[in-house]
Amino acid sequence: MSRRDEEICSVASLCLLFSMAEYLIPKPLPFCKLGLANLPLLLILSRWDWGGYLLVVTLKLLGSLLVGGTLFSPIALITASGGIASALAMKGLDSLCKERISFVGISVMGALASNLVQLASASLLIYGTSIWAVAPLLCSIGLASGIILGFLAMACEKQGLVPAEVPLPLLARKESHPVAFSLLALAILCLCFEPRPFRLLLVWMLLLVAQKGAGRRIHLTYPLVLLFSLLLLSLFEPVGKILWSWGPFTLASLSLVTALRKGLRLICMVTASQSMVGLMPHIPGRFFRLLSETLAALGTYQLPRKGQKPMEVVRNLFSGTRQEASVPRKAHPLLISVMCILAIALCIRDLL
Amino acid sequence: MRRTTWILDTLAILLSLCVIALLATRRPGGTAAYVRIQSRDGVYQYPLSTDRTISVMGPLGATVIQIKNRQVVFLSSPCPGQDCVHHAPLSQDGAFNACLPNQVLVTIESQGEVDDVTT
Repeated sequence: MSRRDEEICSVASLCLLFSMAEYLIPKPLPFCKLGLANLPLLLILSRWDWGGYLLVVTLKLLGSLLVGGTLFSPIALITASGGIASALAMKGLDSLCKERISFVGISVMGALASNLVQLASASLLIYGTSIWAVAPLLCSIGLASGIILGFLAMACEKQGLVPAEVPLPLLARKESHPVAFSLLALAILCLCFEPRPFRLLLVWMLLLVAQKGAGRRIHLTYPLVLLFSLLLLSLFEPVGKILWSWGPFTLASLSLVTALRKGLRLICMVTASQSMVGLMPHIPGRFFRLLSETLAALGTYQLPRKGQKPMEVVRNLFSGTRQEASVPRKAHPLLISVMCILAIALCIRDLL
Repeated sequence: MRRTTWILDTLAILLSLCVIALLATRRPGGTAAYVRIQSRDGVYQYPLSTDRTISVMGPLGATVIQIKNRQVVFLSSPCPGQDCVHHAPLSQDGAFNACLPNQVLVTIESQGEVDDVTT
Protein backbone atom coordinates (compact mmCIF):
# COMPACT_ATOMS: atom_id res chain seq x y z
CA MET A 1 0.00 0.00 0.00
CA SER A 2 1.40 3.47 -0.86
CA ARG A 3 1.97 6.18 1.73
CA ARG A 4 -0.96 8.13 0.28
CA ASP A 5 -3.27 5.11 0.61
CA GLU A 6 -2.26 4.68 4.25
CA GLU A 7 -3.04 8.34 4.92
CA ILE A 8 -6.44 7.91 3.27
CA CYS A 9 -7.22 4.83 5.40
CA SER A 10 -6.06 6.60 8.55
CA VAL A 11 -8.36 9.61 8.04
CA ALA A 12 -11.26 7.41 6.84
CA SER A 13 -10.99 5.20 9.94
CA LEU A 14 -11.09 8.31 12.13
CA CYS A 15 -14.30 9.46 10.36
CA LEU A 16 -15.70 5.98 10.88
CA LEU A 17 -14.87 6.09 14.58
CA PHE A 18 -16.78 9.35 15.00
CA SER A 19 -19.63 7.86 12.96
CA MET A 20 -19.81 4.87 15.32
CA ALA A 21 -19.77 7.19 18.35
CA GLU A 22 -23.03 8.66 17.01
CA TYR A 23 -24.77 5.29 17.41
CA LEU A 24 -24.56 5.82 21.16
CA ILE A 25 -26.57 9.05 20.93
CA PRO A 26 -30.39 8.60 20.90
CA LYS A 27 -32.03 9.94 17.71
CA PRO A 28 -35.67 10.63 16.73
CA LEU A 29 -35.31 8.49 13.60
CA PRO A 30 -32.86 5.67 13.01
CA PHE A 31 -31.06 6.99 9.93
CA CYS A 32 -30.64 10.64 10.97
CA LYS A 33 -27.18 11.56 12.14
CA LEU A 34 -25.65 14.47 14.04
CA GLY A 35 -22.71 14.60 11.67
CA LEU A 36 -19.85 13.98 14.10
CA ALA A 37 -18.10 12.00 11.37
CA ASN A 38 -17.84 15.21 9.37
CA LEU A 39 -15.36 16.74 11.84
CA PRO A 40 -12.26 15.17 10.21
CA LEU A 41 -13.79 15.86 6.78
CA LEU A 42 -14.16 19.58 7.58
CA LEU A 43 -10.53 19.77 8.65
CA ILE A 44 -9.18 18.17 5.46
CA LEU A 45 -11.47 20.20 3.14
CA SER A 46 -8.90 22.77 2.03
CA ARG A 47 -5.86 20.49 2.36
CA TRP A 48 -6.94 17.61 0.11
CA ASP A 49 -8.01 17.61 -3.54
CA TRP A 50 -11.40 16.31 -4.76
CA GLY A 51 -10.05 12.81 -5.50
CA GLY A 52 -8.59 12.13 -2.04
CA TYR A 53 -11.53 13.80 -0.29
CA LEU A 54 -14.18 11.78 -2.17
CA LEU A 55 -12.25 8.56 -1.58
CA VAL A 56 -12.26 9.23 2.19
CA VAL A 57 -16.00 10.04 2.02
CA THR A 58 -16.74 6.81 0.12
CA LEU A 59 -14.68 4.70 2.53
CA LYS A 60 -16.36 6.36 5.50
CA LEU A 61 -19.84 5.76 4.05
CA LEU A 62 -19.25 2.15 3.05
CA GLY A 63 -17.45 1.47 6.29
CA SER A 64 -20.29 2.83 8.42
CA LEU A 65 -22.83 0.81 6.43
CA LEU A 66 -20.74 -2.34 6.91
CA VAL A 67 -20.15 -1.76 10.61
CA GLY A 68 -23.79 -0.80 11.19
CA GLY A 69 -24.77 -3.82 9.11
CA THR A 70 -27.27 -1.96 6.95
CA LEU A 71 -25.37 -2.25 3.67
CA PHE A 72 -27.78 -4.83 2.22
CA SER A 73 -30.96 -2.99 3.21
CA PRO A 74 -32.79 0.10 1.88
CA ILE A 75 -31.33 2.12 4.79
CA ALA A 76 -28.02 2.03 2.89
CA LEU A 77 -29.40 4.06 0.01
CA ILE A 78 -30.86 6.64 2.39
CA THR A 79 -27.65 7.00 4.40
CA ALA A 80 -25.41 7.02 1.32
CA SER A 81 -27.48 9.61 -0.53
CA GLY A 82 -27.39 11.93 2.49
CA GLY A 83 -23.67 11.40 3.03
CA ILE A 84 -22.79 12.09 -0.58
CA ALA A 85 -25.03 15.17 -0.74
CA SER A 86 -23.42 16.54 2.44
CA ALA A 87 -19.86 15.84 1.23
CA LEU A 88 -20.47 17.43 -2.17
CA ALA A 89 -22.15 20.47 -0.60
CA MET A 90 -19.25 21.00 1.84
CA LYS A 91 -16.45 20.53 -0.69
CA GLY A 92 -18.36 22.52 -3.30
CA LEU A 93 -18.86 25.46 -0.93
CA ASP A 94 -15.21 25.35 0.11
CA SER A 95 -14.06 25.34 -3.53
CA LEU A 96 -16.46 28.16 -4.47
CA CYS A 97 -16.16 30.45 -1.47
CA LYS A 98 -12.63 29.53 -0.34
CA GLU A 99 -11.92 31.28 2.98
CA ARG A 100 -14.90 33.66 2.78
CA ILE A 101 -17.05 31.07 4.57
CA SER A 102 -16.18 29.48 7.91
CA PHE A 103 -16.63 25.87 9.03
CA VAL A 104 -19.95 26.90 10.61
CA GLY A 105 -21.53 27.90 7.29
CA ILE A 106 -20.06 24.88 5.49
CA SER A 107 -21.25 22.51 8.19
CA VAL A 108 -24.76 24.03 8.26
CA MET A 109 -25.17 23.68 4.47
CA GLY A 110 -23.78 20.16 4.59
CA ALA A 111 -26.34 19.25 7.26
CA LEU A 112 -29.19 20.83 5.28
CA ALA A 113 -28.22 19.02 2.06
CA SER A 114 -27.90 15.73 3.92
CA ASN A 115 -31.25 16.04 5.71
CA LEU A 116 -33.24 17.05 2.64
CA VAL A 117 -31.79 14.29 0.45
CA GLN A 118 -32.27 11.68 3.20
CA LEU A 119 -35.88 12.75 3.72
CA ALA A 120 -36.58 12.54 0.00
CA SER A 121 -35.04 9.08 -0.35
CA ALA A 122 -36.66 7.82 2.88
CA SER A 123 -40.00 9.02 1.56
CA LEU A 124 -39.48 7.12 -1.73
CA LEU A 125 -38.03 3.93 -0.28
CA ILE A 126 -39.60 3.21 3.10
CA TYR A 127 -41.82 5.70 4.87
CA GLY A 128 -43.91 7.39 2.16
CA THR A 129 -45.00 11.02 2.47
CA SER A 130 -45.63 10.70 6.23
CA ILE A 131 -41.87 11.18 6.85
CA TRP A 132 -42.21 14.86 5.99
CA ALA A 133 -44.13 15.33 9.25
CA VAL A 134 -40.81 15.09 11.12
CA ALA A 135 -38.82 17.11 8.55
CA PRO A 136 -38.86 20.38 10.59
CA LEU A 137 -37.57 18.52 13.67
CA LEU A 138 -34.81 16.75 11.74
CA CYS A 139 -33.68 19.89 9.94
CA SER A 140 -33.69 21.86 13.22
CA ILE A 141 -31.47 19.23 14.85
CA GLY A 142 -29.27 19.33 11.75
CA LEU A 143 -28.97 23.11 11.94
CA ALA A 144 -28.06 23.04 15.64
CA SER A 145 -25.54 20.21 15.25
CA GLY A 146 -24.11 21.86 12.12
CA ILE A 147 -23.44 25.07 14.05
CA ILE A 148 -21.88 23.17 16.99
CA LEU A 149 -19.74 21.03 14.67
CA GLY A 150 -18.60 24.13 12.80
CA PHE A 151 -17.43 25.81 16.01
CA LEU A 152 -15.74 22.57 17.12
CA ALA A 153 -13.86 22.40 13.82
CA MET A 154 -12.80 26.03 14.23
CA ALA A 155 -11.55 25.26 17.75
CA CYS A 156 -9.56 22.27 16.44
CA GLU A 157 -8.03 24.35 13.65
CA LYS A 158 -7.11 27.14 16.12
CA GLN A 159 -5.31 24.60 18.34
CA GLY A 160 -3.54 23.13 15.35
CA LEU A 161 -5.38 19.79 15.59
CA VAL A 162 -5.62 18.05 12.24
CA PRO A 163 -6.35 14.34 11.53
CA ALA A 164 -3.02 12.54 11.57
CA GLU A 165 -2.12 11.16 8.22
CA VAL A 166 -0.10 8.38 9.84
CA PRO A 167 0.60 4.87 8.54
CA LEU A 168 -1.52 2.06 9.98
CA PRO A 169 -0.06 -0.95 11.81
CA LEU A 170 -0.27 -4.40 10.13
CA LEU A 171 -3.69 -5.88 10.85
CA ALA A 172 -5.03 -9.48 10.77
CA ARG A 173 -7.56 -10.44 8.04
CA LYS A 174 -11.02 -11.81 8.91
CA GLU A 175 -12.18 -15.20 7.54
CA SER A 176 -14.73 -15.18 4.72
CA HIS A 177 -17.64 -17.66 4.34
CA PRO A 178 -19.11 -17.33 0.83
CA VAL A 179 -21.82 -20.01 1.25
CA ALA A 180 -23.26 -18.50 4.44
CA PHE A 181 -22.92 -15.05 2.86
CA SER A 182 -24.89 -16.16 -0.23
CA LEU A 183 -27.63 -17.82 1.83
CA LEU A 184 -28.10 -14.62 3.84
CA ALA A 185 -28.36 -12.65 0.56
CA LEU A 186 -30.96 -15.16 -0.67
CA ALA A 187 -32.90 -14.83 2.59
CA ILE A 188 -33.04 -11.05 2.06
CA LEU A 189 -34.44 -11.57 -1.47
CA CYS A 190 -37.04 -14.09 -0.28
CA LEU A 191 -38.41 -11.60 2.27
CA CYS A 192 -40.31 -9.97 -0.61
CA PHE A 193 -42.51 -13.09 -0.89
CA GLU A 194 -43.75 -13.14 2.70
CA PRO A 195 -46.48 -10.63 3.58
CA ARG A 196 -47.67 -11.96 6.94
CA PRO A 197 -46.33 -10.10 10.00
CA PHE A 198 -46.35 -13.21 12.22
CA ARG A 199 -44.19 -15.21 9.79
CA LEU A 200 -41.87 -12.24 9.32
CA LEU A 201 -41.44 -12.16 13.10
CA LEU A 202 -40.43 -15.85 13.05
CA VAL A 203 -38.00 -15.18 10.19
CA TRP A 204 -36.48 -12.34 12.21
CA MET A 205 -35.91 -14.64 15.18
CA LEU A 206 -34.14 -17.14 12.94
CA LEU A 207 -31.97 -14.38 11.50
CA LEU A 208 -31.11 -13.20 15.03
CA VAL A 209 -29.77 -16.69 15.76
CA ALA A 210 -27.82 -16.52 12.48
CA GLN A 211 -26.41 -13.17 13.60
CA LYS A 212 -25.22 -14.73 16.83
CA GLY A 213 -23.64 -17.48 14.74
CA ALA A 214 -21.85 -14.82 12.69
CA GLY A 215 -20.03 -13.80 15.86
CA ARG A 216 -21.85 -10.53 16.15
CA ARG A 217 -23.29 -9.10 19.36
CA ILE A 218 -27.06 -8.79 19.21
CA HIS A 219 -28.37 -5.26 19.81
CA LEU A 220 -32.14 -5.06 19.68
CA THR A 221 -32.38 -1.28 20.12
CA TYR A 222 -31.73 -0.32 16.48
CA PRO A 223 -34.22 -2.76 14.88
CA LEU A 224 -36.88 -1.94 17.47
CA VAL A 225 -36.41 1.80 16.92
CA LEU A 226 -36.78 1.20 13.15
CA LEU A 227 -40.00 -0.74 13.69
CA PHE A 228 -41.35 1.82 16.13
CA SER A 229 -40.59 4.72 13.77
CA LEU A 230 -42.61 3.09 10.99
CA LEU A 231 -45.53 2.41 13.34
CA LEU A 232 -45.40 5.98 14.63
CA LEU A 233 -45.37 7.53 11.16
CA SER A 234 -48.35 5.40 10.11
CA LEU A 235 -50.40 7.57 12.49
CA PHE A 236 -50.07 10.47 10.05
CA GLU A 237 -51.56 8.64 7.06
CA PRO A 238 -54.37 6.42 8.35
CA VAL A 239 -55.87 3.85 5.98
CA GLY A 240 -58.62 1.39 6.90
CA LYS A 241 -60.94 1.14 9.88
CA ILE A 242 -60.21 3.91 12.38
CA LEU A 243 -59.37 2.35 15.72
CA TRP A 244 -58.35 5.46 17.67
CA SER A 245 -57.99 9.16 16.98
CA TRP A 246 -56.44 12.09 18.87
CA GLY A 247 -55.66 15.42 17.23
CA PRO A 248 -53.55 14.86 14.09
CA PHE A 249 -52.85 11.23 15.07
CA THR A 250 -55.15 8.50 13.81
CA LEU A 251 -54.58 4.78 14.27
CA ALA A 252 -56.19 2.77 11.47
CA SER A 253 -56.19 -0.99 10.91
CA LEU A 254 -54.75 -1.25 7.40
CA SER A 255 -51.98 1.32 7.87
CA LEU A 256 -51.01 -0.41 11.13
CA VAL A 257 -50.71 -3.82 9.44
CA THR A 258 -48.83 -2.30 6.48
CA ALA A 259 -46.40 -0.51 8.84
CA LEU A 260 -45.90 -3.75 10.80
CA ARG A 261 -45.22 -5.70 7.61
CA LYS A 262 -42.82 -3.04 6.23
CA GLY A 263 -41.10 -2.70 9.60
CA LEU A 264 -40.61 -6.42 10.17
CA ARG A 265 -39.36 -6.88 6.61
CA LEU A 266 -36.90 -4.03 7.11
CA ILE A 267 -35.54 -5.30 10.42
CA CYS A 268 -35.13 -8.78 8.89
CA MET A 269 -33.05 -7.18 6.13
CA VAL A 270 -30.98 -5.19 8.61
CA THR A 271 -30.36 -8.25 10.81
CA ALA A 272 -29.32 -10.38 7.81
CA SER A 273 -27.22 -7.52 6.50
CA GLN A 274 -25.39 -7.19 9.83
CA SER A 275 -24.50 -10.90 9.70
CA MET A 276 -23.29 -10.67 6.10
CA VAL A 277 -20.77 -7.98 6.94
CA GLY A 278 -18.58 -10.35 8.98
CA LEU A 279 -18.66 -13.06 6.30
CA MET A 280 -17.87 -11.04 3.18
CA PRO A 281 -15.68 -12.74 0.59
CA HIS A 282 -12.37 -11.03 -0.11
CA ILE A 283 -12.78 -8.82 -3.15
CA PRO A 284 -9.59 -8.00 -5.09
CA GLY A 285 -8.69 -4.44 -6.01
CA ARG A 286 -7.22 -1.29 -4.51
CA PHE A 287 -10.51 0.12 -3.24
CA PHE A 288 -11.52 -3.02 -1.32
CA ARG A 289 -8.04 -3.26 0.15
CA LEU A 290 -8.41 0.33 1.40
CA LEU A 291 -11.86 -0.52 2.81
CA SER A 292 -10.56 -3.60 4.55
CA GLU A 293 -7.64 -1.68 6.14
CA THR A 294 -9.95 1.18 7.18
CA LEU A 295 -12.33 -1.21 8.95
CA ALA A 296 -9.53 -3.14 10.62
CA ALA A 297 -8.00 0.10 11.92
CA LEU A 298 -11.14 0.81 13.97
CA GLY A 299 -10.09 -1.62 16.63
CA THR A 300 -6.75 0.14 17.18
CA TYR A 301 -7.93 3.51 18.50
CA GLN A 302 -7.47 4.37 22.16
CA LEU A 303 -10.94 4.95 23.53
CA PRO A 304 -11.61 7.99 25.80
CA ARG A 305 -10.99 7.54 29.53
CA LYS A 306 -13.41 8.74 32.22
CA GLY A 307 -13.03 12.40 33.09
CA GLN A 308 -11.12 13.26 29.90
CA LYS A 309 -12.01 16.65 28.43
CA PRO A 310 -13.52 16.64 24.89
CA MET A 311 -10.60 18.54 23.29
CA GLU A 312 -8.17 16.10 24.92
CA VAL A 313 -10.14 13.17 23.48
CA VAL A 314 -10.07 14.75 20.03
CA ARG A 315 -6.30 15.48 20.38
CA ASN A 316 -5.57 11.81 21.22
CA LEU A 317 -7.74 10.50 18.41
CA PHE A 318 -6.28 12.94 15.88
CA SER A 319 -2.70 12.24 16.93
CA GLY A 320 -3.05 8.66 15.70
CA THR A 321 -2.13 7.02 19.01
CA ARG A 322 -2.94 3.31 18.60
CA GLN A 323 -3.39 0.15 20.67
CA GLU A 324 -3.40 -3.57 19.80
CA ALA A 325 -6.36 -4.56 17.59
CA SER A 326 -8.87 -6.95 19.22
CA VAL A 327 -9.21 -10.48 17.79
CA PRO A 328 -12.40 -10.88 15.71
CA ARG A 329 -15.01 -13.38 17.08
CA LYS A 330 -15.23 -16.75 15.32
CA ALA A 331 -18.19 -17.32 12.98
CA HIS A 332 -20.22 -20.56 12.80
CA PRO A 333 -21.14 -20.89 9.10
CA LEU A 334 -23.12 -24.12 9.57
CA LEU A 335 -25.47 -22.55 12.13
CA ILE A 336 -25.90 -19.48 9.90
CA SER A 337 -26.66 -21.65 6.87
CA VAL A 338 -29.27 -23.75 8.74
CA MET A 339 -31.04 -20.65 10.08
CA CYS A 340 -31.05 -19.09 6.59
CA ILE A 341 -32.49 -22.22 4.98
CA LEU A 342 -35.28 -22.30 7.59
CA ALA A 343 -35.95 -18.57 7.05
CA ILE A 344 -36.04 -19.00 3.27
CA ALA A 345 -38.37 -21.99 3.60
CA LEU A 346 -40.77 -19.96 5.77
CA CYS A 347 -40.79 -17.09 3.26
CA ILE A 348 -41.44 -19.18 0.16
CA ARG A 349 -43.64 -21.85 1.78
CA ASP A 350 -46.79 -20.67 0.05
CA LEU A 351 -45.10 -20.62 -3.35
CA LEU A 352 -44.04 -24.29 -3.14
CA MET B 1 -6.89 29.83 9.53
CA ARG B 2 -10.03 30.99 7.75
CA ARG B 3 -10.55 34.78 7.84
CA THR B 4 -14.29 35.03 7.31
CA THR B 5 -16.58 38.06 7.67
CA TRP B 6 -19.48 35.78 8.72
CA ILE B 7 -21.72 37.11 5.93
CA LEU B 8 -21.90 33.82 4.05
CA ASP B 9 -22.28 31.88 7.30
CA THR B 10 -25.23 34.07 8.32
CA LEU B 11 -26.80 33.56 4.89
CA ALA B 12 -26.36 29.80 5.25
CA ILE B 13 -28.07 29.79 8.66
CA LEU B 14 -30.89 32.01 7.35
CA LEU B 15 -31.40 29.70 4.37
CA SER B 16 -31.67 26.71 6.72
CA LEU B 17 -34.21 28.54 8.87
CA CYS B 18 -36.29 29.41 5.78
CA VAL B 19 -36.30 25.77 4.69
CA ILE B 20 -37.34 24.66 8.19
CA ALA B 21 -40.16 27.23 8.21
CA LEU B 22 -41.33 26.06 4.78
CA LEU B 23 -41.34 22.42 5.89
CA ALA B 24 -43.22 23.31 9.09
CA THR B 25 -46.05 24.93 7.13
CA ARG B 26 -46.30 22.06 4.64
CA ARG B 27 -48.68 19.24 5.65
CA PRO B 28 -47.44 15.63 5.29
CA GLY B 29 -49.06 14.19 2.19
CA GLY B 30 -49.99 17.69 0.99
CA THR B 31 -53.72 18.19 0.42
CA ALA B 32 -54.40 14.58 -0.53
CA ALA B 33 -58.09 13.70 -0.68
CA TYR B 34 -59.55 10.89 1.41
CA VAL B 35 -62.71 8.86 1.26
CA ARG B 36 -64.38 8.64 4.66
CA ILE B 37 -66.96 5.91 5.18
CA GLN B 38 -69.19 5.93 8.23
CA SER B 39 -71.28 2.88 9.00
CA ARG B 40 -72.66 0.90 11.89
CA ASP B 41 -69.41 -1.12 11.71
CA GLY B 42 -67.26 1.93 12.43
CA VAL B 43 -65.46 4.72 10.54
CA TYR B 44 -63.12 3.92 7.63
CA GLN B 45 -60.69 6.15 5.75
CA TYR B 46 -58.93 5.47 2.45
CA PRO B 47 -56.89 7.65 0.07
CA LEU B 48 -58.68 8.63 -3.14
CA SER B 49 -55.49 8.01 -5.09
CA THR B 50 -55.49 4.19 -4.62
CA ASP B 51 -58.05 1.99 -6.40
CA ARG B 52 -59.82 -0.49 -4.08
CA THR B 53 -63.17 -2.10 -3.34
CA ILE B 54 -64.51 -1.91 0.21
CA SER B 55 -67.38 -3.84 1.77
CA VAL B 56 -69.04 -2.38 4.89
CA MET B 57 -71.77 -4.02 6.95
CA GLY B 58 -75.03 -2.31 7.86
CA PRO B 59 -78.29 -3.52 9.42
CA LEU B 60 -79.53 -4.79 6.02
CA GLY B 61 -76.30 -6.39 4.86
CA ALA B 62 -73.13 -5.48 2.95
CA THR B 63 -72.75 -2.26 0.95
CA VAL B 64 -69.89 -2.46 -1.57
CA ILE B 65 -68.07 0.78 -2.39
CA GLN B 66 -65.48 1.14 -5.14
CA ILE B 67 -62.68 3.72 -5.42
CA LYS B 68 -61.40 3.82 -9.01
CA ASN B 69 -59.64 6.53 -11.02
CA ARG B 70 -60.13 8.99 -8.11
CA GLN B 71 -63.92 8.48 -8.19
CA VAL B 72 -66.17 6.76 -5.64
CA VAL B 73 -69.28 4.75 -6.51
CA PHE B 74 -71.63 2.41 -4.65
CA LEU B 75 -71.34 -0.89 -6.55
CA SER B 76 -74.14 -2.61 -4.64
CA SER B 77 -76.28 -2.19 -1.54
CA PRO B 78 -79.15 -4.24 0.01
CA CYS B 79 -81.53 -1.24 0.17
CA PRO B 80 -84.85 -1.44 -1.75
CA GLY B 81 -84.59 1.92 -3.62
CA GLN B 82 -80.97 1.58 -4.92
CA ASP B 83 -80.69 5.39 -5.08
CA CYS B 84 -77.14 5.21 -3.71
CA VAL B 85 -76.08 2.84 -6.52
CA HIS B 86 -77.56 5.09 -9.20
CA HIS B 87 -75.94 8.22 -7.74
CA ALA B 88 -73.25 9.92 -9.88
CA PRO B 89 -69.65 9.08 -8.99
CA LEU B 90 -68.09 11.26 -6.27
CA SER B 91 -64.79 13.00 -6.96
CA GLN B 92 -64.88 16.54 -5.53
CA ASP B 93 -63.84 17.61 -2.06
CA GLY B 94 -66.97 17.77 0.13
CA ALA B 95 -69.09 15.50 -2.12
CA PHE B 96 -71.12 12.81 -0.37
CA ASN B 97 -73.44 9.88 -0.97
CA ALA B 98 -75.39 7.75 1.47
CA CYS B 99 -77.40 4.57 1.77
CA LEU B 100 -79.78 5.61 4.53
CA PRO B 101 -81.58 2.25 4.98
CA ASN B 102 -78.24 0.51 5.47
CA GLN B 103 -76.77 3.44 7.47
CA VAL B 104 -73.71 4.00 5.27
CA LEU B 105 -72.39 7.51 4.57
CA VAL B 106 -69.50 8.26 2.19
CA THR B 107 -67.78 11.65 1.99
CA ILE B 108 -64.69 12.98 0.24
CA GLU B 109 -62.45 15.15 2.38
CA SER B 110 -59.02 16.74 2.10
CA GLN B 111 -56.34 15.85 4.68
CA GLY B 112 -56.41 18.24 7.64
CA GLU B 113 -60.05 19.10 7.10
CA VAL B 114 -61.54 15.97 8.66
CA ASP B 115 -64.50 16.73 10.89
CA ASP B 116 -64.50 15.32 14.39
CA VAL B 117 -67.27 12.77 14.33
CA THR B 118 -68.02 10.54 17.25
CA THR B 119 -67.88 6.88 16.25
